Amino acid sequence: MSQYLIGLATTGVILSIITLALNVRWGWAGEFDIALFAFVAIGAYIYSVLTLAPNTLPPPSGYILGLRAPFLVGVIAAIVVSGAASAIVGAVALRKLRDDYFGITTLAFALILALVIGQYTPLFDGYEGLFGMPQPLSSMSPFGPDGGYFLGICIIALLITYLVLQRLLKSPFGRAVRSVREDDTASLAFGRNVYLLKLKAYILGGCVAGLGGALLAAYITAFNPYGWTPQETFLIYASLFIGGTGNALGAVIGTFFVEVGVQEVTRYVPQIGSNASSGDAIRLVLIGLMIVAILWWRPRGVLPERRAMDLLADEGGTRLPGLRAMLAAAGHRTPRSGPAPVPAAQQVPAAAPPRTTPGPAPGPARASAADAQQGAQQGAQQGAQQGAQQGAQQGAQLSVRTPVPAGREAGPASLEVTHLTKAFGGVKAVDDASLSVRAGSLTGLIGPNGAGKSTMINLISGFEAPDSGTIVFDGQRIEGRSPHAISQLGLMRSFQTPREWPGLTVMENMLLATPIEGRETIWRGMLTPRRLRAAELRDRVQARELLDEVGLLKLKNEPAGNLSGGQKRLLEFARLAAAGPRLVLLDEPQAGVNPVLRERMAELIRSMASAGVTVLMVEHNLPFLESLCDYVIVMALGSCIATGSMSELRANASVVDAYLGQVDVADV
Amino acid sequence: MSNFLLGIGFGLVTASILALATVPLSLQMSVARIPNFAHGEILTAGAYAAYVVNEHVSNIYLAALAAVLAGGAVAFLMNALLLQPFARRRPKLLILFILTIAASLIIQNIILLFFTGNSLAYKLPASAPHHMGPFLLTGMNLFTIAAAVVVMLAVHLLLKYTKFGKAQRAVADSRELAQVTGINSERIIRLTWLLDGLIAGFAGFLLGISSGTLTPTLGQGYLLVIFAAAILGGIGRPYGAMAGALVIGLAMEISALYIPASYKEVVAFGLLILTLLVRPNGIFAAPRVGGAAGATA
Repeated sequence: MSQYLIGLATTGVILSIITLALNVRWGWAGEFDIALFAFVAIGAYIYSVLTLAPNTLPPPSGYILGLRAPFLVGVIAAIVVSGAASAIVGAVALRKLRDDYFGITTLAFALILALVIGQYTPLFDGYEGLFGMPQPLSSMSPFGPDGGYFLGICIIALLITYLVLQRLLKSPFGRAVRSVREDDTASLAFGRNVYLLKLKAYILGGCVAGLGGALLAAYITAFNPYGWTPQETFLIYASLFIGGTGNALGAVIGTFFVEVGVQEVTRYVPQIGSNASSGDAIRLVLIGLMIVAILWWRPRGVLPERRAMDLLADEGGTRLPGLRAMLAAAGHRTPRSGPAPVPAAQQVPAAAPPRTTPGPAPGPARASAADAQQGAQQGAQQGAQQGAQQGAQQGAQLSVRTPVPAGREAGPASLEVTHLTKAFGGVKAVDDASLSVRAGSLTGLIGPNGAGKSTMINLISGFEAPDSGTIVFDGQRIEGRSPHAISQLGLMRSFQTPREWPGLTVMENMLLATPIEGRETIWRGMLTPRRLRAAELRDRVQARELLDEVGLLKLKNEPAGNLSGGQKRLLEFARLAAAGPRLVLLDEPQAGVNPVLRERMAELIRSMASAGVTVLMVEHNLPFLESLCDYVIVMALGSCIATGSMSELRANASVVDAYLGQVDVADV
Repeated sequence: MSNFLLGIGFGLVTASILALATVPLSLQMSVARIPNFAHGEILTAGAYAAYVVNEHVSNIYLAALAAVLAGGAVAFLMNALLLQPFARRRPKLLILFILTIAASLIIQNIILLFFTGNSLAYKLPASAPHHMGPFLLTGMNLFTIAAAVVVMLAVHLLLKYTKFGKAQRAVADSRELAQVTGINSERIIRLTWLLDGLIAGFAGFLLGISSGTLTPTLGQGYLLVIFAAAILGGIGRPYGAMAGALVIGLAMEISALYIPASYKEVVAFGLLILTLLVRPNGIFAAPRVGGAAGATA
């Protein structure tokens, strides 16, 4: 191998590591980061500053520190500092910015860093840059300073990076990060701390970029601010787009193609006139055109992201108990112990007793519910009294407001909303609304359009913060908490239009819904992948059962985005069942569902409730509600104006006036 | 004190150029909603077109006209050939953003191919600075400020009183709704890009004059300052963009009196980051109205 080819290979290998860094940020997490090369630069500078010998630069800027740290120390420091810098930039920029603003912010950061380093001569020698960095093993190489032994080090670094990242990608952590890319709202709804996951991906990418930077500095043995313009980052993007976003092998191939292949081919383009830059110009125009072409014809790249296949056989095995039992098992979140992958469902009797049957409580939630009953009864009475007082006070101004009937059979309140208010500008979407949902009940929430139902759901689930008022869920104040924290408490929600993670498979969607129990960490993903897989086998078996129940098992390896609207609804139910909430908020589960499926839906909701899950459901289909719900809460103009069974509500003049009056009463 | 006033004078010149560069971006982002990374290249194209014409005819007004036309052509074609075909597939916003990055790469390097990377300079009649009250300004500076005021006024009249301006605001508000009421949204967007380019090309010409030399990265180097002004004023608010340009322009020039001038861009970028963190919708943004179901974080 000639020295020339060794040089090309070394460049390609080091840039591949940098592309893998971008693949973590952009490919996994969907972070449009334009500062990538700034982190490469940080790695390069840290490596240089630590490893340079004293006075390797010509006077007057003779190098001051002269630490002469060994290669490995320099590399590790580069990784750590680049990661730490990523943590700072990410913590600021990932906070709440739109994707494009995030990109612009990172670009601003990169340019500020370039300006500051360019101006700052004492440590980094400004625009002159540093040179004379030591390259390990180069003196031993038969090919001289650009020699082959260093290529070996780079290849080893690439291999380690590649394997570690692949392992992480397949781990629960990688899956969670990809879910954030696909739909971060859904990730929040299923209890993921989206901000933290994004930040972790950003830091991980920064560490890898720092490694690339250290190797780059050691290879070139010089580094200055001209070496990391935003254009360098765009070339890495081009490599990733062409190779395949999200695919590590594609990233490496793309890098060799763009950074080595195109570079080399355009070297043979003759110079145009006296324009020394013509070769570069033609190369970059070509790369720009290739980005456009690949986004038009093959937007996922030459090697698209690999689907995570679930290889458990669909057939065989005993017929396991149905959804109801699964829900019962999942709903109580019994600690799953023991390494054996026994499906939790097998431990539960096949036919869970229907909710109305008297008899032994089917699980711990029931038992605790009974214990709590007495106390809660008092609470409910107090609440009713308060409501009555409030109703009396405001009755003067607003005759529609009726107190909660005091005599209703009082179960313990699972959810208690009091005096909740939320205004958007001058519009009070929710205005001093109070409602109470009994544990284990199936409660409807109705009201004309604009009554504040969806805002109420958003407030309860934490997607909006209330201006005032309290929300208590199972004895805990939850108002103003973040959605993922509320979800982790067991209060979950669905959305008007189902929010699946479209690019992930149906099975992955199910696995992301199951409680994570601390599995989604980088360390566990890296160090104990086998144990994680064993633990996950249980979840896979359960997910299979649930998918079978809703008829989606055959599609388990399909990207969820390919499902039809109805199938997405069914998947949503299966996901909620896998999540095992104690209370679920359903936002118009019937929207856009055909009549046959509607019946199916009703069944699923019923079985959910009979498994002990409390259900609060926004719905416009009144006969459907009447057939399902124990009682119904009516909202109008942002307030809850009445609660009762449908027949009670029909007799309530104010309700009919506010809502039912708009439809033919005979239909209701 | 007089130094400070001089700073304000330079600040007004910078703010004028910046306003001419920012208002079209903001207008485009309110109507077509594409964060345009190639906006700087529209400026560059304008600057180089003016250079070519000025070399041949040595007439500064014809040069300015060439800049306007070149900017308009580049922006119009970029939309018609690249962005609109992609936009019809309704891709994610980021894909469109990335396409503008590719466009920036292509346009910038085509300019590099034809004009080399060497610095070029306009041949301008010498123009000595005059004392204008407390300010020290050249004739070209005065022309810049006057041109900015005239163009801003014209944009205001266009938005407020013409049918096209009304249609633009309708499309900005809701493309679908505008379409349903008989407005050809795609046509409005095409014309908006054309207008964007016409004004930005002119801004490029003025930028070329004020910076003294032309390089293929002239506009890109200015891009983030433009974004800073646009975001400060609230993206998609042309009037906010004028105010944002004024704030950023003054902040940069006045800060240059107290810290090394090479850091004045850091001031702009710092304001950009600060705005995004504290008031991402701009300093003039009204509180958000309406809560969509399933609001995202």
